[in-house]
Amino acid sequence: MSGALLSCRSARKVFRTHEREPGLRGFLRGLFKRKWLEVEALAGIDLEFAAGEFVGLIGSNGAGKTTLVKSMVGIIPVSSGRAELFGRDAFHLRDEEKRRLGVVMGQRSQLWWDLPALDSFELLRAIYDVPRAEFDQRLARYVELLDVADQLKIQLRHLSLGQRMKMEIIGAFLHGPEVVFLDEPTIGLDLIARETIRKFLVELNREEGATLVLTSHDMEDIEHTCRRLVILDQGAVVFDGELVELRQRIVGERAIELHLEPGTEDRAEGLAESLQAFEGRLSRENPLTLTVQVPASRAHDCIAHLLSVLAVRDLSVERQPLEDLIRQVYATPSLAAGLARP
Amino acid sequence: MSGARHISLLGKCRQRLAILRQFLRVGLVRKAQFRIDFLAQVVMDLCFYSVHIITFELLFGMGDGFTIAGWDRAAVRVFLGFLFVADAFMMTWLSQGWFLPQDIKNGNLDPVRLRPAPSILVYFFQRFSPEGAVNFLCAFSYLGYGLTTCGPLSADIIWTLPLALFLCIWAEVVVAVGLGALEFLFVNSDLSRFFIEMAQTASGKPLDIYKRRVRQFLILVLPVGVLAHVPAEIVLGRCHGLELLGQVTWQILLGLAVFALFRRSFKRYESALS
Amino acid sequence: MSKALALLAHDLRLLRHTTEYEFRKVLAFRVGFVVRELLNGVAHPAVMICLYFALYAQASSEAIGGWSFPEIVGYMILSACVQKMLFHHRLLEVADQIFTGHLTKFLVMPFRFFTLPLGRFVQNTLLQVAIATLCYFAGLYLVPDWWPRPASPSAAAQAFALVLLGSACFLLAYYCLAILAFWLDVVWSLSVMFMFVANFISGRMIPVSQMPPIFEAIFRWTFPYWALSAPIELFMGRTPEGFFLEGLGILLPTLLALELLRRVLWRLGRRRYVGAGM
Repeated sequence: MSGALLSCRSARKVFRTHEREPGLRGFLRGLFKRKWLEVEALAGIDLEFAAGEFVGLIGSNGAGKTTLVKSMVGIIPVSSGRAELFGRDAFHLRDEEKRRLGVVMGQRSQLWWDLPALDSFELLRAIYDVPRAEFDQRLARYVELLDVADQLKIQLRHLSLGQRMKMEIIGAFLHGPEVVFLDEPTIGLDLIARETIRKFLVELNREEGATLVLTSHDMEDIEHTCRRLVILDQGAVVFDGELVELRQRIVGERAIELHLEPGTEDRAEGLAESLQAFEGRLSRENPLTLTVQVPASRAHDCIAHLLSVLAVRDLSVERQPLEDLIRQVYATPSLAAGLARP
Repeated sequence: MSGARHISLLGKCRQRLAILRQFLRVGLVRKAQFRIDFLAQVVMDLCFYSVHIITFELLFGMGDGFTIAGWDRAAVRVFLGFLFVADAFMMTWLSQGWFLPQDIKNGNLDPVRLRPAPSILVYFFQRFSPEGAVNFLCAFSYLGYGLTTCGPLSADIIWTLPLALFLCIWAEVVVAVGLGALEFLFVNSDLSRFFIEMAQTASGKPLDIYKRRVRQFLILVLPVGVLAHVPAEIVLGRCHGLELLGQVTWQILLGLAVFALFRRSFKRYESALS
Repeated sequence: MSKALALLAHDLRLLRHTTEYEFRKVLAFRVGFVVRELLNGVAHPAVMICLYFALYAQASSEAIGGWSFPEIVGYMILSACVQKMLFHHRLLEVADQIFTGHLTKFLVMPFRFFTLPLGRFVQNTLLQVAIATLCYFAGLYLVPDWWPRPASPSAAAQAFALVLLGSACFLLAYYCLAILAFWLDVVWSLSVMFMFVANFISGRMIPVSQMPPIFEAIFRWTFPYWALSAPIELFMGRTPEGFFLEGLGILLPTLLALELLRRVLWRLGRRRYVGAGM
């Protein structure tokens, strides 16, 4: 054991389902004879998460994120390989280990739909056997951080999506778990609610040392919260490393936007050819606005060249958005292979 | 980081009781919100009781001195009393079991798998219905009425009544959990709901109307016969001594085996993909 | 006029699709199909036959309440067949859809919501009629001595018509109870309560004509009686002339009244709908 709180070794999950032919005749046929299909949701995953980490788990729809989370928390067993939590097979966790775990399923409420959130929290207190003083202290703090004091006594089903999600998150943290999985907790939320939740998670990770595993389709969630990133594609890990590392290793591009002095646009003639020396690509939105895409390592020299050739009124340099990086990883399997952690 | 916290046996019992108390509390909160539902469920169960009582009274009213497989009118009243107690217990504590098929299908059991408490307790007992208290009152009253129509209350009846009530309630839990276990084996089959209905129908009459083997199957295997038939036989003095001891021992062992089967079947839960 | 016809044609097309969709749903799971569609409704009559056997075994006369034991067995067999065909409350999801707010997605679509439960009714009726017919003829072939036979082909046809009309009344009655969910948070207990009472009135426990005359006199004014006990007695030839017309006289106005009630409740309920959770 490496001392990891959570580990997967060659974890594979296969779902068995039968093919459903369209039309009534097909369904009648299916009643007597069925063709079974095997869907590989996880294709032999190797991962380790240490205490205190904040890991982002991303991937396109059907990449296996939710299956991985469910296997790691012990909701479903892996078909082969191992998924361990707290040094124990995740599917056979005992109550002692379950007390150290929290889960938020963005699309599936874990609180009681027809009860005010406060009543659900009391019920969770009994289930997790949380001492009263500890419970009150945490609840007060979380309610303040997420700004939901006014909604505690309202039936969950009468709350907005954002308010409900905040309640779900409070419910998952009330017993002071060491590891918390958050499966798309910001799905469908507005900007303010997303920011509040992000701040909350970062603070809990920093101050209480909780290990957080966050899956999200929103790259801003990942950028603002996680240090480590795991990218899944077709049930396999295609990148596992620091976010900074991802940027350093594949992000090599910067977008340099230039606004020229009026009347000097003719000085940009022949610029495209001269930029080839820096591996740069030129695009021109209008005669006075140019954008140059250039590898990050050449950006400095390229800017010096541009300033020497052109009469620049304004200049900005932008990093490539995370979405573009991820797209690049998916589009280039060889790149993905080179990124995977040894 | 605190690491694993080991809980003593006493601590576990205390935790289970605290959970039950919270279920009871949220049940009251829920019903305080849905007041008409409270009334509707009380009336619904009264309808259930009335239909059973009227049916038997009509059957016995068709001729003088009628008996049904050796059960006279007074004995059937005792039988119905236990049936109503079992039903009141089910309605009060175990009604969540009705939703198990769709909860499995929709992947709603994820939280149950994650909770650090027995899955049977967290799932089956989560929906406490306070109207059951009213139903219990009606059921006990009718049982009392049935017992008094059998003759003066003897010491034997008073002595055996708690044991009969224990068996009746124990069997209700065992039946609900056992049929729930089936649901994991045949997902989306509605098997448990079908068997609950069949079991309720079969056990709604004194089991002596069936052949011996069917009767034994309903008592010793399913065991829906222990909801009302066996308890009624115990207080009516038809089951005593070693037979009674054997019956109680068997039912407890069967119950424990069924709980183990449920825990094992629960591992087949595949959740929903999304 | 043409607009109304176009609307009707659209509704009928949609009904056909909904019915087909419902068929596909019930056939998707094999064990579920056997349990829900084949075994549904057979347990109770079987238990009642055992009960009656015990009762008749110690009775001094061959007939009790005007019914001999073979006749009672016939009644219970037919009761199982009819119960399969009658619509029941578990086939409706509208109360849940109102409570959870899932109704919203249907309300924004250009069709009448009632087409969905109607599709389920058509599917359930077609399937259960087929299964009940198969079971009836299989029983007739296997145990011809005990199996009930129709008094005449017209009696069978009349009984079938009453059952179908009665089933439609059940659909509307349960639907009206379900859409009370616009006002009440939990309504399943109302449906179950109605089911208990309707079971008794319909003669599911004991044939109505075996009950004291006062019961029969009252129950004859209600549709559950005409949905089960009455058609069975008509089938067995135990009814007087004009019985079928009397049944129509009760069922058709009830159907109309329930349909009006459904429309009023839906219209009023829609005004209260808040789409919880959406």
